[in-house]
Amino acid sequence: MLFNISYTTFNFIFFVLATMLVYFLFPVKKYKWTVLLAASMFFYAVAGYKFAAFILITSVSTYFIALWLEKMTASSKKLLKEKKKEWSREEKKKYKNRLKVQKRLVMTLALVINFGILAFLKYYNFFAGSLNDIMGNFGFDFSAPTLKLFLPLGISFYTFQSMGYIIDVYREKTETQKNPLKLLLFVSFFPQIVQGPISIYDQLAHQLYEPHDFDFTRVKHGMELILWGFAKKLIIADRAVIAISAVQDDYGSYNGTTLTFIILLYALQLYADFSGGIDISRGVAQILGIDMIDNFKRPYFSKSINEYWRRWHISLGAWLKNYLFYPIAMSNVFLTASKKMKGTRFGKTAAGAHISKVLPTSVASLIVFLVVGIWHGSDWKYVAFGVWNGMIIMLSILLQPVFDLIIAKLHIRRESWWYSLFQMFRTFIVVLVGYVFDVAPSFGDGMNTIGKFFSNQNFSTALSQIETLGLWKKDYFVILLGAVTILIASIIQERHKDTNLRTMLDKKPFILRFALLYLGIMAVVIFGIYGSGYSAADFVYMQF
Amino acid sequence: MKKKLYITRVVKITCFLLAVIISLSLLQTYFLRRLDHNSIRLNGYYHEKEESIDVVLLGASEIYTSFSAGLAYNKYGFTSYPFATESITAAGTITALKEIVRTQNPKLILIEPNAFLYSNTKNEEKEPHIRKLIDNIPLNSNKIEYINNNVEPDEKLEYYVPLIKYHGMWRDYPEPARRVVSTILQDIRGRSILKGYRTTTDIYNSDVKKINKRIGSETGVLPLNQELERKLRELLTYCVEQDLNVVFVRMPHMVYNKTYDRVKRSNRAEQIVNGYGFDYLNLERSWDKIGIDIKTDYYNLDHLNIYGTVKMTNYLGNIIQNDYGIGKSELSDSQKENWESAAKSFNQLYRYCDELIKKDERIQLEEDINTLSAIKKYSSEDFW
Repeated sequence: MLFNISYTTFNFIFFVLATMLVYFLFPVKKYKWTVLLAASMFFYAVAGYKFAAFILITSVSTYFIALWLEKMTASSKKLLKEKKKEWSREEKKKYKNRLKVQKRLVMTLALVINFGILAFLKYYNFFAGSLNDIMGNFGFDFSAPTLKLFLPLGISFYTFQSMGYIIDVYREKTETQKNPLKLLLFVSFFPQIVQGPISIYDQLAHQLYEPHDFDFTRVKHGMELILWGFAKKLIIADRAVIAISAVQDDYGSYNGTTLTFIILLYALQLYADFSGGIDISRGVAQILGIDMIDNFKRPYFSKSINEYWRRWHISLGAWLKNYLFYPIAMSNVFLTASKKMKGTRFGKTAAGAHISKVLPTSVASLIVFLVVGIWHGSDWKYVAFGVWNGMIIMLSILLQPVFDLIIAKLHIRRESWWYSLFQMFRTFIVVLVGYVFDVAPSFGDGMNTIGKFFSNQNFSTALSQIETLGLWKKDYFVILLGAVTILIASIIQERHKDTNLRTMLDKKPFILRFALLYLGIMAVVIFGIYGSGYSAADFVYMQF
Repeated sequence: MKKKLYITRVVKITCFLLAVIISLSLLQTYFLRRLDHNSIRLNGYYHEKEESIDVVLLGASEIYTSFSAGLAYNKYGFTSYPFATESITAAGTITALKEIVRTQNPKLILIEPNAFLYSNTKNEEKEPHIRKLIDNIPLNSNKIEYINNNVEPDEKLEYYVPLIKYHGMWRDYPEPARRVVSTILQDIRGRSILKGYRTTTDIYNSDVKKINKRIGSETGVLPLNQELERKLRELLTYCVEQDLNVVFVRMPHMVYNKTYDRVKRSNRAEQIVNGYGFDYLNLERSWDKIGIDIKTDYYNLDHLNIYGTVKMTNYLGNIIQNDYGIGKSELSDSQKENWESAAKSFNQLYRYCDELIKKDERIQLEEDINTLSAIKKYSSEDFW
């Protein structure tokens, strides 16, 4: 980093203000997008200039391969038009199939280049280490070298976003961007480069290229969202991470009760950190007239793990659904397997009919969550995290009739409030078990933690252990107060899904708005973890 | 209609920003700030009317524990103030001198050279020692110059806006409340009562072998640390350029083997200071003349207690009056009231200290609400 320009620095605030000023005062409307491009380039140059080559490789390869795909589509359409009368239906079909294979090969080239870079930088050492362990266990004298590799800033996010664009071009769902600089802006737009959201080209790109004038309400709402993001990140997440890191540094010495507390704290910290960061990103974009998708919709209110993943990191979920889940679930392999199962004796039973019907989706879910796990990090514990979530979803799909039967037998009313509460609690517990593998330093430690939940509970020992985690009692009180504030805001938002809190706030009396914003700013200034007295933690999702 | 909307918005935003800025400023000035005896001393200094102080004493803790401005006024009639902070750095001394010139331009400036006598520059890098001075200087060209020349680029903002550094201090409450209230009261009052004086009610008794008797005949010199000598010469050049009436005063410390090199470095500093045409009063050689009793007049190795302060103030006051011609100040009625009150308060403080020392109660006394409230019951008549 040339200098620190991460979200929680004053440099970032000055940078955003300067970008705002130049953008709104830029005289040539048609080229306002160049201000965003310049700002994004500046941000990336400052934050990750050593690795700028990687984002350029992605942008350039995406640009040319998208053009190549478009050219293939255009020339094929032209040829088909010319040969409309000349070719038989068979010949046309044959040509289309050949073209499809060719286009797929070209698209695969883009995927291999870009996911190849990501996989190499992020996973090479993990695979080399694992291979060395396996070979060592079998007594082979083999050692794959480990390399000193660094992850370019936002590589997962911009790679996924670019490849989404390539797949959309391949599917002819989106127009190809002819201007390489405009495509570079889509890939590198600074509010999303650090931790997403992973935007879809059609949803974001035109907003980036259109000129936006100063809009008081948008600027106000954007700033309110940024303030809310700062509050979550600086007051809650960066405070909680102090205790969590202390436990991670000496993981084996804490008992089950302390670890239970830390996993709960982690659930809060991760949500506050990630959603806080996304709020800052969305707020900055909103000020500039750009609406980025909301990446969170109160995930801990989910009634099933499936719903949880539709509310948590929504853009990643949507990407995986569009570009991985459907292609797998709708692939010939799974559809044929499903059909074959239906034809067997087992397939004709009630259970068999259900299983053959949901087999493609349940197996695709497991594969998708395996990818989610690997995406989160290069460690077996992340694989375990993904498999745990995938297994739960797969089982919930496969065993749905059994659950339905139990509910019917017990005369449970699905719409009752206590059943909803039970579902939320159940889902939350499942989520927490997944988090164990996030927090634990290794897969083995994660398994030990689960064991400790049942065998090593001691409240008074935990109290004395929690006191040594680097936070004062007053800090825990601030965290609690912050959690309650998020909970209240979430409940209000959950009850008014058709609007957002900022629009609701606009309708309240001036003095109430004044007081709430004033308290918000003061709370961040006083209770935020920033400055040299503290080392504000990097955003958790930045590492992905 | 649109115009009205714009005006309403501008008024509302201005009110909101004002409320935020005022609140942040109050937080930075009083509530989330490292308040201590240094901040209260310098705050008191800046309350003194411009060009109303005859003598300013500049240096580290030796200054504010060895000299009472209230007593000096009572006995000799000149006004004085210690512009001193704990373990002041050499670079800080230069900035402090510029501040003294900017605000008071006194008839005489006494500089304690301790900051230049260390064998290395570790003290220069100690953030607490830097901040005890710089945080308590209001934002002006001297402070900006210091920050620009001495602070790492990524730390500068925290020096300009100390709230960034200290905002986490809410955890320390209610402990800092005493000093917050003391500072607010000092601001309301508009003057310092103890004029920066601070002491500890104790008598030092140590097994460390003191070798002060050797100092009188010690003529050996040791070179100053190169960087510190460069800063001393920078300070002296500034004094020459500004034509300042400056005297260096080495306060009497208890010297033992481990600190004896400082005596030799002090001798070298004396040569340098004299070379620029300034006096260097080495009071470490003047124990007998001052009348210091090693058994009763210190509260630790480097600091005189209240008994030592009285002797030191008498001795130095005499020199200031007789050798440097600083006579009685001509003061307005309100100024006179201010200084007479300071003199009386020191009389009360002396009696309070005396009682505590005799009762063997060791506490630190400075201008805070506890001390000011405790001394009220004692007589303000002259104690000598």
